[in-house]
Parts: sequence; C-alpha cells; structure tokens
Amino acid sequence: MNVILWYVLWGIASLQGMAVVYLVTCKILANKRAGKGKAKYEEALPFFLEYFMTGDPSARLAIKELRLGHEVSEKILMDYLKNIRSGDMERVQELAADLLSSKYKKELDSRKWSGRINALYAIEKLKLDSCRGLLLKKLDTGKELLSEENIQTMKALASLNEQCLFDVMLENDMPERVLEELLMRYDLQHMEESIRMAESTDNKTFRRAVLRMIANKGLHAGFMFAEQQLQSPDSETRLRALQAYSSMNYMVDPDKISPFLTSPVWQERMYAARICGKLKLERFKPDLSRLIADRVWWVRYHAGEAISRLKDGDVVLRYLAEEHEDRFARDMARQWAASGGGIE
Amino acid sequence: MNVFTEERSLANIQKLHFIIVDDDPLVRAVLEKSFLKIDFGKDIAVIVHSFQDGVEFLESDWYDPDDKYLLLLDGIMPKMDGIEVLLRVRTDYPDRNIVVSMLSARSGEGNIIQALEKGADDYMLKPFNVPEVMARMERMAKRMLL
Repeated sequence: MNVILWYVLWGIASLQGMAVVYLVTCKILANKRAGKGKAKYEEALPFFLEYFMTGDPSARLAIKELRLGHEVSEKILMDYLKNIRSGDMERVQELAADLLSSKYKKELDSRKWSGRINALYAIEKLKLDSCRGLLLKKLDTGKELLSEENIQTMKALASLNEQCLFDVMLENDMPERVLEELLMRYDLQHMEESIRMAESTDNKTFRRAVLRMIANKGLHAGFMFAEQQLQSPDSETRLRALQAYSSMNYMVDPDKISPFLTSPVWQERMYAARICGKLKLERFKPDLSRLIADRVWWVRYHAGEAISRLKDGDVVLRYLAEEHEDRFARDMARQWAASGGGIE
Repeated sequence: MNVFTEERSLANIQKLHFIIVDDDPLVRAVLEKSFLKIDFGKDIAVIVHSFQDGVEFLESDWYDPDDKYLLLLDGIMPKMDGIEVLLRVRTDYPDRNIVVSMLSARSGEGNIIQALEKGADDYMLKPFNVPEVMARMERMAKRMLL
C-alpha cells in the first residue's frame, strides 16, 4: 500500500516538475521574442518617424528593407495614431496599406472570430482604403445586419466614408445608437450630406441619430436642421433637436425656445432651461424662476444653473433662496448661490 | 537618458534645455526630432534631453542655475507620475529659469486644474498635434529668454 502511495506521490511531483519546466521555458521564449520585437521596434522607429514627419521616400524604402514582421509595423503605426493628432494621416495610411493590408485581407477570411474582429478594428483605425472592396463583400444587409461583426464592418466602412452605407442606414430598421456611431465616423463633408438626407427621409430613427451626431460634434452645419426639428410632432425628435441646439453656441430665436419652457415633457423643460443659461437669454428670467420650483429635480437643477449664468444671477438666486414660496426651489437657489452663481 | 546638442562655438552662449520625460519611446522620439529643429538664433544653444521616467530624470545631474529649462512631463508614467515630478521640481528648484508643461492623456478638468495649481505653466492633451506643441513650447521659451 505504502509503495503504491509512494508511486502516486512521485507521479504527481514529477508532473508538477514538468509543468514548471514547461512554463519556465515558455516564459523564457516569450521574453526572448518580446526582446527581439522591442529591438526591432527601436531599430525601425526612426525610419517611420522620418517618413511621417518629412515624407522622405528613402525612409520608406529603408522600412521595406528592414523586413519587419507585421506585429512590429502594426505596433508602431498604432502607437503613432494613439499619441499623435496628425495632419499627415495620408502617409500613415499609405504605409499601413503597404505593410499591413495583405495581412488584414487574409485575416478577414480567418475562421477565428477574434482574428476577424481585430482586423476590422485595425482597418477602421488605420483607414485602409485597400480593404474597402472586401468589406463591402463581407457586409450583410440581411438577418446578420446587427451582429457585432457586421456592425464593426459597417464602422470600418464608415471610417472610409463609404457612401453605400447611407442606403443601408436609411432602408433598414437600425437602433439609433448604432446609426449615431456610424455617422460619427464620417468626415465633415459626409456628415453634412447625412443632414441633407435626414431632411428628406421619413426614417425617424435616422433623423434622431443625425440630431445626436450634430449634438456630439456641435456641428454648425446642422443648426437649421435642428431648428426645423423643434417643430417635429415626435417628442423624441424634438428632444434630440433641443439637445443639438444646446450643444451649439449659436444664438437662437428665443421664440423657438419659449414653448418648451412650459412643455408637459420634463426633458424638454430641462433642455430649454439649459439653452436659456448657455445663451444668456435674459428675458426668460421669470420662466427660470418658475422652473426652479419644478416637480422634477433635473429641471430645478438646470433652471438654477441657468439663472446663475445670467446677468445679476447671483442677486436673483439670493432673492429666490430667501423668498421663493417653494421649499425645494429655495434649496436649489441656495445651492447655486453658494457655488458662485452669477460670476460669469 | 539621451542628449542631443547643437554645437556652438561662442563662449557666451546661453543654453536652453528642452527636457522630455515620457515613458513612450515614440513620443520621446517625435518630440526630440521636433525640438531639435527649433532655432533661437546664434546666441542660444538648444539642447534636448529625454528621460523615460521621472525617477531617472530627478536622479540625473540635469540642473545648472545659469541655464534655462523647458520641461515637458507626461502625466501618466510608471514609478513616478508627472504631477509628482512637477511637485519635486517646484519644491527643489527655483521657478525663474524653469518652465513646465504637462503633456497628458488625462483630460479631466480636475487634472488640468490640479496641475496648474501645483505649478505647471501649460497643459496639453494627448493625442497631440506636433506643430501645436512646438508653437506653445517655442512661445514659452521666448518669454523666458526675454
């Protein structure tokens, strides 16, 4: 019995020993690979930078002659994009197409989902135009439209300013958030085009997504469209229009804002109050003094903030803090008065 | 540490040091390359140093009271972060010949205010635009050299 136990223990110990040897060997090899990669990175970096910063063709030639692995080239290009907001994006894209497009084209056909997704992310980040055809072929407008991989394919195409995608967005029932994420990837010229499309479409979700894009980008070209949408019969669309309106520092027609200060929808009252403060619409001081007593905390909060931004806002807030008949309004006024309201 | 110097022969030359402290070799290389192109005329020698972390920088023999310094500190670094390096510089060295700018990916209002309160003269965000960083640093250098 003792002998059997001894053999079992001995077997376990040797298995553990083998596992340790295996892990240590793997670690040593990984460290070696990482060290080689780092050395290659450091060797190649000056040539990449020379090319990005000066466009020197001999630097580009030198990079090719270095015969770097895809990993090193990809790391340098990604690190550059991560750190530098560059006007010379064209050079980065050219080099990326030269060095990496064959790799990504192959990976797009990979059987591994993670490999395909990583390739899609990289294509989007590096804006690899040479992969456009493959992406269009890969795009599924059928039942897989909203699968993660297909959404990432659309994002990559949007980053390449692919116009066909607008038809997909207009003709399909896609969530507003996905549409917004796609629209945000286009360049300014195409964003303006999407505004023109939103003006003529019946697709409410697309229209709302365009309004969200205008809000996020503070896009001045969308001002007129946002103004029109304030009259929309759809309350969600009106809300997005107010959001867009409040994100732009354009002077608005106060008459367009006033109906929202008495809206039955609290979000509309809140955004209207925000716009009054942001654009210092003095004539709405009485409305804001009323809204500081609103039944919804957010409306009260933004009304208080808006008053604090107006001329003599601190005086009004102090008065409201003492004299308003509503206890919650007095509290809110006190809070904004204490935070230095009216200083601006 | 890397040092790049433009050799000048005049004895009464004023030395202007650009010091980059950043753990990212790509950022260091881009900035070194760009700073070396700055020219303040024949009476000022531009010297560019770069360090991969705050500890290496503070332990080096970088300071000479007769020279002028422009420090560009990364906000997020291993061992010692940019704010800590800034605090040490502002505590241990005089203000008059050292200008400090932060170059950080921390974009929160709180981070920016904290850095300015602790003695930073400027705060720039990553990802950065190289000509913009150059223009700001050049402007601060000129103000210090006046």
